[in-house]
Amino acid sequence: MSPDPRPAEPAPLRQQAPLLLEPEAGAPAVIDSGWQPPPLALRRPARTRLGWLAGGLATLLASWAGLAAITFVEDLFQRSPALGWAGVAGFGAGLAMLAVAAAGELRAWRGLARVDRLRRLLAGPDAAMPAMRAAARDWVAAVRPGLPEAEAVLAALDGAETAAALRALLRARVAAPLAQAAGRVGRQAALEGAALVAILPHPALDGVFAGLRGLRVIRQVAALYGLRPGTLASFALARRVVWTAAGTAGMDMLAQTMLDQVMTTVPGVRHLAAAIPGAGVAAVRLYRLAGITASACDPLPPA
Amino acid sequence: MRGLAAGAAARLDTFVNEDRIALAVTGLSGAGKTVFITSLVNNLLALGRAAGQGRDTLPRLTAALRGPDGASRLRGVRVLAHDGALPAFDYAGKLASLSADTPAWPAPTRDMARISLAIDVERRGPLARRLAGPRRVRLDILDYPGEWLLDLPLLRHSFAAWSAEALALLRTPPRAAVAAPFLAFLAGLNPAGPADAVAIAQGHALYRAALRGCAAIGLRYLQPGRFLAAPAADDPPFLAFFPLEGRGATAGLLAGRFAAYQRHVRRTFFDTRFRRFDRQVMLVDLLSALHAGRAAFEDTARAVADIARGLREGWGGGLRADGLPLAHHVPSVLLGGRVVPRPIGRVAFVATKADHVPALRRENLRNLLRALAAPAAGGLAGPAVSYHAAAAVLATRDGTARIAGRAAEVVQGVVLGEAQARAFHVGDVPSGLPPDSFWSDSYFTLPVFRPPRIVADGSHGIPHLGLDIILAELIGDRL
Ligand SMILES: Nc1nc2c(ncn2[C@@H]2O[C@H](COP(=O)(O)OP(=O)(O)OP(=O)(O)O)[C@@H](O)[C@H]2O)c(=O)[nH]1
Ligand SMILES: [Mg+2]
Repeated sequence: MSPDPRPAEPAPLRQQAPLLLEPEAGAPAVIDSGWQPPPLALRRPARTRLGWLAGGLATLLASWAGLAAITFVEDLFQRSPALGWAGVAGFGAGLAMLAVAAAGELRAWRGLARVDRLRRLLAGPDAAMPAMRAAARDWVAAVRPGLPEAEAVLAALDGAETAAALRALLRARVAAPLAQAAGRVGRQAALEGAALVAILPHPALDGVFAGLRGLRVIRQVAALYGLRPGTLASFALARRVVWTAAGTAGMDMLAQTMLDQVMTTVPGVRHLAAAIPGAGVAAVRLYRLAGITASACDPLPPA
Repeated sequence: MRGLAAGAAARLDTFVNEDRIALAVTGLSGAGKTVFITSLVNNLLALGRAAGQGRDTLPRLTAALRGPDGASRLRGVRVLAHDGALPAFDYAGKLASLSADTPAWPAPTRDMARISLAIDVERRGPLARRLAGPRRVRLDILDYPGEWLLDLPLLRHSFAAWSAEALALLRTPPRAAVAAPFLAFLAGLNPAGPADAVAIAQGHALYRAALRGCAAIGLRYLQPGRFLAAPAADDPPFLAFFPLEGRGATAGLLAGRFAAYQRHVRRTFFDTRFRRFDRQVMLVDLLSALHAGRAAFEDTARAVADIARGLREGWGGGLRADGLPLAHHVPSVLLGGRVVPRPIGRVAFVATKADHVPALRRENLRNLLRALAAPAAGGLAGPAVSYHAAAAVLATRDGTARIAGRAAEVVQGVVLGEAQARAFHVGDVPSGLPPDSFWSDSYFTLPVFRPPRIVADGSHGIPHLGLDIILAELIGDRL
């Protein structure tokens, strides 16, 4: 800890020897090495050219189809006005349907983006309070159908002064009931899953069935959380669910405790599982999937 | 059937989304393994905090992680829930004592412990990023008592060969003086005579005392490592051996115990870790060795060379059919742990505690390490070897002081337990193997500086020197 005892008379100092000097007057008690790492925002990377490419292609296709349709309808009008009107009606109906579908997808994407935004805001500092409250209000409004006391929660939101209070409120009065509802969806699916496995003629079909039923579970739970996923958004959601599962809960998917838990919460499954091998496993998976989907859709940071 | 399918699904997920890096942090006791791991974990966590709260604590790694659009591809870092048989590395406790108001360095490690981090990163290509989402890199790190490391070279030897080597070493100064009682005991022992339990127990105790005496004067190449711990009541009986030349009943009995010890090391230490890693960092406390005198320095050099040779030739754990040592293979997750050829990717040799050296001389320290390790490591076929001088925890600041009337580059630091900063002049750091004239009889222990101020919630990372370069070099390619 200190140099070897040095002779009292000043020995000629060898330059190579290590030396611990006496403290100078006014030397500081703590060393500041000037460590001040700059903030690093882990932002999502900016959109890339791929978006432009897809957009360009879509615009080309749409304008081509639109122009073709117009010339086609014009052609029809030249033959007979009745034919022309029929053409207009047909195209109009087709366009309207496309628009409805597109709007649905768009809404679903926006819903996913909203969850992400709220999640970011909720994890952030108190300074973002107004934005946080507005985003929370949006979320509660979106999940209103599945929330018995939505209005009361909306009123209580204004009373939350800090981010922590807001998180606590959302957790207790929004996330908890929604998670319970997701649990009900899961139990229902588990019972159905077990029953279906029992009557399926071949074990190889189990997986196919479980996959389809699983997709439905995802969509049901997503709907509970105010996301009504269209086809495209469903895929994005499924990917997110897989990601969540792998990161947080993947490993206990088949753990014995899980099995026991489902057996006790969903009574019908127990009898089926005892009789038919595999019924229990299918049930557990579907039940678990509901839970994982719920956490993937839930904007609240883990407590 | 179903279990198989579920297993396959889990493996598929692991295969697609997860990349596992087993990082072996090696180094003799006191080299700074535990401190290194704590700082590494802390700085990675600070880097990967949720949006807007992260700090660029590891600039070179951040640079390595930049995507094509200039933004960091990092999405987050977290400590994974612990699984498996090994005890968990007490990261929170170590951080708490380092960042306390009266900070303390971690205590010497007594047993193995593991920590695993998940690093989420965007994939590199724009298409992959869009289609496949983020990727998880799982970093497994093991901490263990440094003395155990020298048990690995022991695995290669027979009892006779080890005894010859150990006794030859023990008969040279300065060991001979410390080990005099043991050597005297050996002179009176007849290896061919009948095995006398009392004499063997006495010999073991004397040998153990000799090793501990050598450790006390700064020597490092001491085998077996477990003998350095204080004798315990529950020590298994096979532990009671000592080196002995010659043949006969006593020697035979000791050889049997030696073999049992080898099996024990292989099973409890080597097999759990050293067989399977793909990145390795070898920490060397070169400064302490340099100042503890010639014998201590040569001991450290011998240990470094031995470990490097083990990397090249394996640890006597058996060779595979293709002739490559087992240590060169890591299990593939897809094959469920079966050993498939995959070479150790990268090895970093690090001279630790470089915060005791002013900036201008750190390059010397690095070159000295290179001179020491390169001859043994140079033959490594696959791995890219890099050399560094680094401080996992930066406890000092560079400055100048007047020494004997001349201005000298020093570092300023508060010695642990003192109230005011002092200047420390490290003296000459040779940039190659020191010439004979370098050595004198003086013995100097490196001052233990008080750890710097560390923000306890971990948001600002731990000040360090060059940790980011080591990480970028070691795992940057896999992120
Ligand atoms: N100033 C400074 N001191 C360090 C640094 N790293 C390690 N030390 C010192 O070295 C001592 C030993 O470090 P450890 O990390 O406990 O060493 P270890 O390799 O884990 O040792 P064992 O557990 O005995 O194998 C610490 O208590 C510190 O005093 C560093 O980066 N800077
Ligand atoms: Mg340690």
